[in-house]
Amino acid sequence: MSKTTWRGIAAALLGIALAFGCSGPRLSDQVGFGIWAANRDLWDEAIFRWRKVLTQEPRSVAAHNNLAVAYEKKALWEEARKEYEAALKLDPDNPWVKSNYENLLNNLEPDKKTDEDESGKDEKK
Amino acid sequence: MKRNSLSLLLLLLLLMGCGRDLYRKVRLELPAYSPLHPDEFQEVFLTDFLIAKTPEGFDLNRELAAFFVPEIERRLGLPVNAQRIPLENEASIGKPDFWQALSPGPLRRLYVTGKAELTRKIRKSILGEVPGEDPFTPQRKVAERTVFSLSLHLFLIQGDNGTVLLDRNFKESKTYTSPEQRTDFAFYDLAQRIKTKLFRLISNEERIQERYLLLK
Repeated sequence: MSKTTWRGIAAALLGIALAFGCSGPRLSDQVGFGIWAANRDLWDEAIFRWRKVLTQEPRSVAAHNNLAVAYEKKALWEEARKEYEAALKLDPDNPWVKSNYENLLNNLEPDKKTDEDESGKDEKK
Repeated sequence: MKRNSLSLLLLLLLLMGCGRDLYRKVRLELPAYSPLHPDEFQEVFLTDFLIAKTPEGFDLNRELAAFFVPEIERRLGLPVNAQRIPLENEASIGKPDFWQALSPGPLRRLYVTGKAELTRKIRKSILGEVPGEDPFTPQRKVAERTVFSLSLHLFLIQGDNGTVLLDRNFKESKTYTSPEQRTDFAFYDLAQRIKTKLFRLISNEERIQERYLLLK
C-alpha cells in the first residue's frame, strides 16, 4: 500500500476513535440510567444512580445538577440547593445549572413581596 | 483530491461524535415551596387588621373576618377562632413577645394579621365628542367610573415564638361603570382575587416547571 493510503486509513481510524470518544454517555452508564429512570418518574431510582456516580466521581457536574433536580421533585429544598451550589462550584459558567439554580431560588424567594394587580377593567353591564 | 476527501471524512466523524447534546430539557411537575406547614398548628386566630382607610359605613375588619375565616378553615383544615384580637399598632406585629403572650396554652396557634385599606374613587373618562346644541361646537361626552382598591399587607405568625412565616403585600383594583356600585360587592370581588393569590402562595400545589438534566 502507498503512503497515502496508509495515511488515509490512519486518519479514518483516528476519526472513528474521536467520534466514540466525544460521544455522549451511553445509557448503560449511571448518569444516563438516572435520566432513563427520571423520564419514567422513578425519582428514587434516579437519585440512587446519581449518588452512585458521585461516590466514584465526586466532581461530576452532571450528577450534582441532576441530583438537585431530583431533590426539587421530592421537595427536599435544602438538599437541592446544596447540590446546585456544588455543581456551580465545579462549573461556575454552566448555563443550564445556573438556570436551574435561579429557578429554585425564585421558588424559595423571601416572603416580602408585593402582589399587585391594577386590573382597571370596566364591568360590562 | 484524495487528501481533501480524507480530511472531510475526518471532520465529519469528529462532528458526529462531538455534536451530541450535553443536556436534556424536561418539564416537571414540581411541588411549590410553602413557608406554612398547617399540620404543625392546632388553631388559627384572626386579629383585627390595622385599617388605614375604608369607605364610610363599611366595617372592613368585620368583612375581612367574614370572608377569610371560612376560607382559611376550608383550605388549611384548621379551626379559626372567631374571637377577634385587637391590634394596637404596627410595631406589635414584629414583636415576638406580643404573640407569645397571647399564646399561653399548649395548643400551637397561627395568627393571621396585618394592615388593610379599601378605597373608593370616582374617575371621569372622556368618551369622545358628540354634537351639542350648537352643531358647529362639539361637546365632550364624559362618563363616571367607580374604582375600588383593596390593599392587604398580610402576616402569618407562629404563636409560640412570634416567628413571621409570611409577610406579603397584596393589592387589587377594579373599575365599575356604575357610579352607584356597592362597596360590599366590590370588596367581595377584590377579596376573591387576593384569596386566590394567597392560597396559591401557602399551599404546596405542584406546578409545571422546566429544568435541564445534564447528560455528561
